[in-house]
Amino acid sequence: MSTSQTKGAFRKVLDFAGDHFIVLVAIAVIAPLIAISAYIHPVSDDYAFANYFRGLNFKDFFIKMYTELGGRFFTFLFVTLLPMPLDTNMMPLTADDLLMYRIAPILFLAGLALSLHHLAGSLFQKVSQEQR
Amino acid sequence: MAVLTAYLSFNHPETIYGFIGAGAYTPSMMLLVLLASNLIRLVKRPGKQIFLFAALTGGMAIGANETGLVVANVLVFSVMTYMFLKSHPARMTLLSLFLVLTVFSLAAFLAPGNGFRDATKEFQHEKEFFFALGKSISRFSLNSVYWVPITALTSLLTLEYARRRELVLKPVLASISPFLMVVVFLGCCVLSYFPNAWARGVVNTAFRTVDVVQFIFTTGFICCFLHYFLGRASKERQDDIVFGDTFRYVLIGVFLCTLYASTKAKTHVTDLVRKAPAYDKDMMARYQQVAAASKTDTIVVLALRQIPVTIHFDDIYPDVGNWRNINVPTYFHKKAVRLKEPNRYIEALYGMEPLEKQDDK
Repeated sequence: MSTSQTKGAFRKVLDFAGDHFIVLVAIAVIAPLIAISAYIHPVSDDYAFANYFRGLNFKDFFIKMYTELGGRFFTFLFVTLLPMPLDTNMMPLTADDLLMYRIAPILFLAGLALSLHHLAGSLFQKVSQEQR
Repeated sequence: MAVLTAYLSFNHPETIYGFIGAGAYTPSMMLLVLLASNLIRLVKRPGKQIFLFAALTGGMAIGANETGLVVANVLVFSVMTYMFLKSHPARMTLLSLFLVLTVFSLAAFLAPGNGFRDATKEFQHEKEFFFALGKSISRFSLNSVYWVPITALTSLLTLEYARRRELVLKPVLASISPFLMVVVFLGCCVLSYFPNAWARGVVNTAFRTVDVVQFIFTTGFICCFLHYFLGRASKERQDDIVFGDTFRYVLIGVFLCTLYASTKAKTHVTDLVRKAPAYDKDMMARYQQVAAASKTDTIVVLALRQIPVTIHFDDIYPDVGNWRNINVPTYFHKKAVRLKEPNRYIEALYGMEPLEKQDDK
C-alpha cells in the first residue's frame, strides 16, 4: 500500500469516527456496563422475592404481592413471567446457575435502547424534497 | 444519546443490576418512553392499534412504580388538554386513553398492599400536600444543577448529529409551542419526586427513584432542545443552524474531556477490569460456605476483599437479627447468617441504619 493510499484509508477512518462520534462514544460508555453484568450477584430483595415465590403458584404469588407489597402490579407480573433468576430449587454455586440473572441487565439496557429508538422514530424524519 | 447521558450520571447500580429493583425501575423508564412515542403516533394518526399500544404501555408504566404512575398521567392529561383546546380530531381518542389509564391508576393506588407495607412506620410530614410539593421542587432544583451541564453538552452534540443527518421534526410536533413542551417536561420531573415526598415526608428519595427522574430529565431535556431547534419547519430556519467543523471538533473535545474527568466512567472500567472478578470469586466462595454449613449453625461469612461499586449495593450485615439478613439463610434453608465485620462501603452509603432511610417508593 502506497503512502497516499494509507493516508486515504486513515482519512476514511477519521471521517467515519467523526461522522458517528456520538454513536461510538455511546457504545464505549455502555460496553463496560454490559460486560460487568458477567460478575453480578443476587442481593437481598432478589432472595426475598424468591422466598416469597417458593411454594406458590403464579396466581397466589400475584395476589400475595398485590395485597401485601403494594400496587406495582406490572412489576409483580413482570418478575414472575420471566424465568425466575433465582429459581426456588437452584442454589447459585456456579456461574452457569446465575446465567439468567446476569442476562437480565443486558435485556433491560437493550429494551431501553429500543424504546428510545422508537421515540426518535416518532419525533424525527429526514428532510423532504420540498424542504431541500 | 439519551442512553449515554442517562448512564453517565446514574448514581446507583440497583436500577440496572439488582433484578427486582431493575425489574421495577428500568421497565418503567422504557414504558414511559414508549408511551410518549405512542402518544405522538396516536395524535398523528388515531387508530385502534396505536390506541391499544398506548393503553398497554401506559397501563404497564403505571403498574411499574409510583413515578411511572405520576408521569404517565401527567403526560396523557397534558396532551389530551392541549388537543381539546386545539379541537384536534384525536381529542376523543385521548380522552378514552386517559379514562383507561385512570382505571389502571386506581388499581395501583387502591392496592391493599400500599397501606400494609408501611403500617408500622410513621414519617415526619408524611401525607402533607404542600410539604411534598415543596420538597419535590427543591429536590429537583438541587439535582438538576448537577445534571444540566452534561445534558446540555450532549443535546448540542445530538443537534449537530441530527443536522448532519438532515433530520427535522415531524410536522405533527412542529406546531406545538416549545414553551408548553418545557412546562410539561418540568412538571413531569418535579412530580416524579412527589410520591416519595407524600408517602415518606422528610425521608430521602431512594437512589433508584432519583435515577428514574434523571432519565426522564435527560430524555426530556434533549427532546425539548431538539424540538426547539429542529422544530422550525421552514428551510430558511433550518439553514440558520449550521455547525462549522471547528465548532464541531471543539464540542467533541469538550465532551471527551468531560468524560475523561468523570469519575463514574473511570470507576466502571476499574470495576470491570480489577474489582469485579475478585468480588465474583468471594461471592462464589460464600455460596460454597453457606451450602456446606450445617442447618443449625449461624454462618459467619468474611468481608469482601474488593467492592465494585458499579454493581455492589447491598450485603449481609454483622447483626444476625437485621431483617435483611433473614432472606439469604431462608433461601439456602439455613438458620442464620452474619458478616464477620461491617461492610464499610454499605454503611457509608446508607448510614447506620442501612436501607431503612433509603427505602423504596
